[in-house]
Amino acid sequence: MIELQNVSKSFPGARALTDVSVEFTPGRVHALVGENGAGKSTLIKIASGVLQPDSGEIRVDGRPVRLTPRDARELHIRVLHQERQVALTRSVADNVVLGEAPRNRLGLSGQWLVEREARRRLQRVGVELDVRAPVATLSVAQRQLLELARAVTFDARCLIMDEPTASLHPDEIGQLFEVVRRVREHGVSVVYISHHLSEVIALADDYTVLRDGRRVGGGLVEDTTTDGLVAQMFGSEVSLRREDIHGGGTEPGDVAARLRGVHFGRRLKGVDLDLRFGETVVINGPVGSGAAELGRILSGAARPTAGSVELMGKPGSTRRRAAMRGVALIPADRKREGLLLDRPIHENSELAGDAAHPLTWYSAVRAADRCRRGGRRLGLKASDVRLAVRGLSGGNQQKVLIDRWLRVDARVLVLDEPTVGIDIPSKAEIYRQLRALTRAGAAVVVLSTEYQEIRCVADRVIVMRDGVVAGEIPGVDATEQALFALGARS
Amino acid sequence: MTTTDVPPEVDAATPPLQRRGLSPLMREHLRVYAPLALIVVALGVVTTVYNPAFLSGANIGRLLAANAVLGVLVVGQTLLLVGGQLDLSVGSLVSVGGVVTASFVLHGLPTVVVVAVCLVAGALIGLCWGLIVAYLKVPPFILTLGGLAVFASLALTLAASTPIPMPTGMTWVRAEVLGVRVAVIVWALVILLGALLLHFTRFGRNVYAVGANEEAAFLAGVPTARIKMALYSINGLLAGLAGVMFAGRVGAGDPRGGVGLELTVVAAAVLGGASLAGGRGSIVGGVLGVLVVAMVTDSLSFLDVPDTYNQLVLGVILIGAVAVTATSEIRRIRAARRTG
Ligand SMILES: Nc1ncnc2c1ncn2[C@@H]1O[C@H](COP(=O)(O)OP(=O)(O)O)[C@@H](O)[C@H]1O
Repeated sequence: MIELQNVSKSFPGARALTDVSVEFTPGRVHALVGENGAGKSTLIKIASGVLQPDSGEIRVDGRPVRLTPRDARELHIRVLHQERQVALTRSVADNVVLGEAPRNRLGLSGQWLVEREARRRLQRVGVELDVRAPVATLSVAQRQLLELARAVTFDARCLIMDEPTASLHPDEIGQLFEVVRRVREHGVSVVYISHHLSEVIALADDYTVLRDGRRVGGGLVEDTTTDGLVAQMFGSEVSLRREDIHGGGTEPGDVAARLRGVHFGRRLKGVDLDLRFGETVVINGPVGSGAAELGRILSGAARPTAGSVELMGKPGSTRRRAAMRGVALIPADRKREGLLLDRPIHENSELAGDAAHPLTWYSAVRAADRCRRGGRRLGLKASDVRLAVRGLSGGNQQKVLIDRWLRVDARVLVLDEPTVGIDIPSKAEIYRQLRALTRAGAAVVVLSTEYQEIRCVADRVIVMRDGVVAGEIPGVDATEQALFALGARS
Repeated sequence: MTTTDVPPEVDAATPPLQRRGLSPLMREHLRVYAPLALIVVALGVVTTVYNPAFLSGANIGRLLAANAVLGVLVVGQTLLLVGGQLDLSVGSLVSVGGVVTASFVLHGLPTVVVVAVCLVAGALIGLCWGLIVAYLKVPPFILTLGGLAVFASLALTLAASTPIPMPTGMTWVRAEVLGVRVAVIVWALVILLGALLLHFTRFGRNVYAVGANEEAAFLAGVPTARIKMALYSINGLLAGLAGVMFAGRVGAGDPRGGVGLELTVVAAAVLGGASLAGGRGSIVGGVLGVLVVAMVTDSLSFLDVPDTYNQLVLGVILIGAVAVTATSEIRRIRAARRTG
């Protein structure tokens, strides 16, 4: 059992933690939540000996200790970083039994023994990996599973996981959770930091909420909800509840997009869809269900292999023509498909406009001025719009992308997982913006797998399964259970 | 949190969207330009001390005129590089252009016609490159390397491997207007038009976008194929013009005249801040790159260094320049990671 009692820590110019107490109990997953700058990193740095508290006490199994990184290691407190500590050139087996040379009863040792031992240890936590594969060939997710397996075999007492799911796919996250649960069964206390409150609810047993360096809440996870966590993290300023964001629908207008019998290879098998102005339609479905493909077809970025697409009454065509007609596309992978990371913010926010009118004069000074005005409307926080967009937070980058299409008065917006990796206040702002656009008569399509997001923005939800529309429900009725039932029915 | 996905918000103490001082992009440009300008000035000073004739008006005019061909080509290549493209065939195109010019002049065709033919033919060849790159997705490096070989051979075949003299043709290139050689005036006009296009039209923003992230540009509606075709056509046209200017300067159509020129052009453009990865560079930078190349070759000869060392010195400067940009780039990205 590791306890931090009345811990405070100041940095020059910033008070990072004030009088915080937490306990990490063996065999339980403890979630630390709080917005950026709340003090989570500082707390885990103190718990792992990297930083010394200004005041307060750390107790391990009731004994007060003074922790250095070395002590922490000896006490088996491990911090699991995203892509570190594994020797990339070696095989999985070598990494699992790192530094030991297992011998059999005859005192022989050899690579096959190393591999057998590694296989045994991986099985203990339910990790399936090829023990002979070099670590360099593993995905980020697989490396994390490897790290977890290592932690258990080295008898970790406390395992600290900092945003482990930031770059994982949904199915990989499920796998990770399974392994974390096994690790917990081995009596390890797991500290879990995540911005994804639904993950916290799904995985954690206890939680602590930090705000401005103070502990503002905590307890058993079974006694709270994501809405409850949001309320504790931000007070009353930010809410992700449908009642506070959705603001009711309007009567949908003309048809913005009409899909009939759309096929796309084997990914889509005959989809009919009508999208009207003045409504937000959420398309929900896991990877492989065809939801992502539907988004690309709606925005002209992909052509159906069969079937017809009509955009505003005209046959759909290329991405460029769709963009010229005001069909916005905000891809899920902001960095690879959305932004020009090293170009200034103002250029990123004007890209759609520049693309539409290449044969006109351009002034960087005026473009920057326009961006300042547009950015204020969206609550964009940037010290200077002439800086590279790379330096912005995910939430601000997404606002730049939305601004890009508002500049050209896009009337149809297709957003693929619009708030992945975005802080909660920005999420709320983006949802509110989408609702405002919808009420102003835009047709909005959101591809989403996040229930909270769906609840906040949807007028109706279309659930995809295996390339066909599995069903449709009105946004008000879109509970997690209802969506799950629709998606799973076969 | 130290994930790259959710970096902390920008320091709340700075007022949002404030505008202050020089634009960060401009500062970055200055970081590229300042060392180049310094090299040019330093070389000038050293050489003048050694041989005062270097800084004479006549010599500077000669220096500029001698590099006008290179200068014109660099404008086209910089446009391409910014758009993430590359054309290595320009060296051979200059040879072909020179040979065609000389033989047309010998056949008695009027200057205007000859120039027009070279420009149009160059633009069409460029358009071909653009079509192949945009629609067949052939990597520009391979495609234009092939083009380089094909046109080198064509130039030799057309001229039967020997220079075609045309002592009285295309003399306007060597003529002077108000004491400035026409070649230099043409170069200046090309710079002006190139800079207008890249920095003062939205077309230019599209070029940067294609070079910086083609997928993102495409999804934002940028006509990426047409942008590429335009870039290659402009570059081909400038290569045709450079061919005419080259023939005019030496008074002959030399089928080997452009050999190796493509590498000097790319080197000058990269010296000037353009990146082979695309999305980076400027016309002014490219021009400064040419000036550095010109100064190095010229001052070395004024300093009586054997011209076998030219390439060596240029190579060292190029490696140095690229290393400096690369390290500052790495530092910048690391800083961005750290501060969010
Ligand atoms: N090394 C440091 N120097 C100065 N201030 C710091 C340092 N580390 C963190 N802080 C400040 O302490 C506060 C808490 O930060 P942090 O623990 O990183 O929060 P979180 O991990 O929840 O995002 C922030 O205001 C941050 O600016």
